[in-house]
Amino acid sequence: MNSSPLSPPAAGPLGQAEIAAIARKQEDVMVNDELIVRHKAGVRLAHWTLAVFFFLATLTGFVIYTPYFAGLAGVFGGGAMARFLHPWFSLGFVIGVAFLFGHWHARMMSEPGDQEWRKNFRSYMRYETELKDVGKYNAGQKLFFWSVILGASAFLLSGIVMWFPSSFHWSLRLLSYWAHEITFICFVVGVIYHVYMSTAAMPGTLRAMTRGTVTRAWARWHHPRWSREVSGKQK
Amino acid sequence: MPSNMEFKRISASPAPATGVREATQVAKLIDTTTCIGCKACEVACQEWNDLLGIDEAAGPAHIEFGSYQTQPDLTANFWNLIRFNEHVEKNTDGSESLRWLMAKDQCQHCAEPGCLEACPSPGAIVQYANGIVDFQQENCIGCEYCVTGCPFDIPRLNKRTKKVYKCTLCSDRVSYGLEPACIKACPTGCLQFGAKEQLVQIANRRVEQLKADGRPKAGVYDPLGVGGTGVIYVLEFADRPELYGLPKDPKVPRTITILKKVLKPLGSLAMAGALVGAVFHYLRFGRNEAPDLPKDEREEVKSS
Repeated sequence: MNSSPLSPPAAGPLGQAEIAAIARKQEDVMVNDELIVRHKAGVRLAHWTLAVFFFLATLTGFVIYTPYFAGLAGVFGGGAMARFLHPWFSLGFVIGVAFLFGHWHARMMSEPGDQEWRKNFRSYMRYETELKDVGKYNAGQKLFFWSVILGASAFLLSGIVMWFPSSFHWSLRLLSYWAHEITFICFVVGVIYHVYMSTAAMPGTLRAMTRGTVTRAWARWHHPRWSREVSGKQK
Repeated sequence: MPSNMEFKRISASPAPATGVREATQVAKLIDTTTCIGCKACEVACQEWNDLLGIDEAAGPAHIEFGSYQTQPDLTANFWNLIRFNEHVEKNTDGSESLRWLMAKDQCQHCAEPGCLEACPSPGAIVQYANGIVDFQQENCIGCEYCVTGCPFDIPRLNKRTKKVYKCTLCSDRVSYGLEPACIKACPTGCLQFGAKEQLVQIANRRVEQLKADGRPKAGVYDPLGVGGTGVIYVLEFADRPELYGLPKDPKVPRTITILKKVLKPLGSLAMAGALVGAVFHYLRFGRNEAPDLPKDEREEVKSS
């Protein structure tokens, strides 16, 4: 982690293009004393890859999940086509997850401040807390991350069985139907929560995954310890 | 699909039935004690259903495996297989003799079909009002859930078309008042077709005959675990149907029923609930907007 601020530019603050160039390669650096890079380009790319493939896999999965969504099959060229595409979309999703796992697993380990966050979960959801010891990721985000890893693994293992059912024993197929379905339900609930929290509920969050940067005010409010570490300011 | 037959059940369809008229339940009776293994029914099945061509994608056919049986197993283009089950019997003088226990391996046309229960594609599996269970390949998506749902291990996927196939009980012939092709070809009369009620009576009479003839274990195979079948057997060893390759107590997998009737509705509720919950949370608590930087830190920004 690079926690030292960039040296001030020679002439005036950096322009949009220069900020974007920095946000492509570096993370956890401050630019112009007002923005902090939260996610570098590779992470953002992996995130949106898995997001798009998850969305596609969910839609093709819904076709098979319930007959009420069978009409949706037309979008993908019919039920048989949806069944054909679904595992390939899912594979794209799993590859995206694998990349993010490689990048994030170390940063998603539990920290001392997490206990306090978990204790204050109810008041956090009511916007009534102001916790000081929150790093780059709070305990909730870490929980979501590990749930995604667990869910993607369950999807993959049960999905392989369902992709080539005749290669596996009958009881294993039945088990996979259950595992796939339960994971799917939990996953969709989790993703709805994830999307809601990072867009409507917390303004200024989405840009971390689009432009890669967040404002110092946002970082100070939501992730104070990370903000302190990166900016070297704020006692 | 015969257009002149009404439906009793349609897979994955909110509105399951189209018919209101009472229909006679049809059935096929297989008297395994009078089967001579001539395979005329196999030929007739292939002929009538135009399955004569060898389809490499359908699976291993015509391979030598040390048996009089035509091929080891059912395939996507072979829906009716006479199994030559080899049975060793102790004679009264202590010696052993080998004999065949013939069995006709095919779709059993269950009254409660596990395949139809498991199928997620609307209209890919139907049950006609007369009890015949039929696959509609144009609606099949090739997921093979039916293969898992079937307690008799009958449906087979064709790897080329990615569709699943099985015996239709010649629904196309039956819809025009004809008997299935295999029945028509049987030279010994061990295969019979008609109203199930009558065939059960015939089967029971035959069982009495066999018992009087010194075969005390003879009986009818019409398993209740799947609501009875549209294909019933007279077996010499009805206490051991496994000898014929038939499952002892086949059941519609209840886990699939629970999955569809309990887990899926609960799951839909949970997903819809999450959406509604997010909306309510927003209405109640609004946005968690980050406040501006405190004054002293802002000045730091300017001075640096």
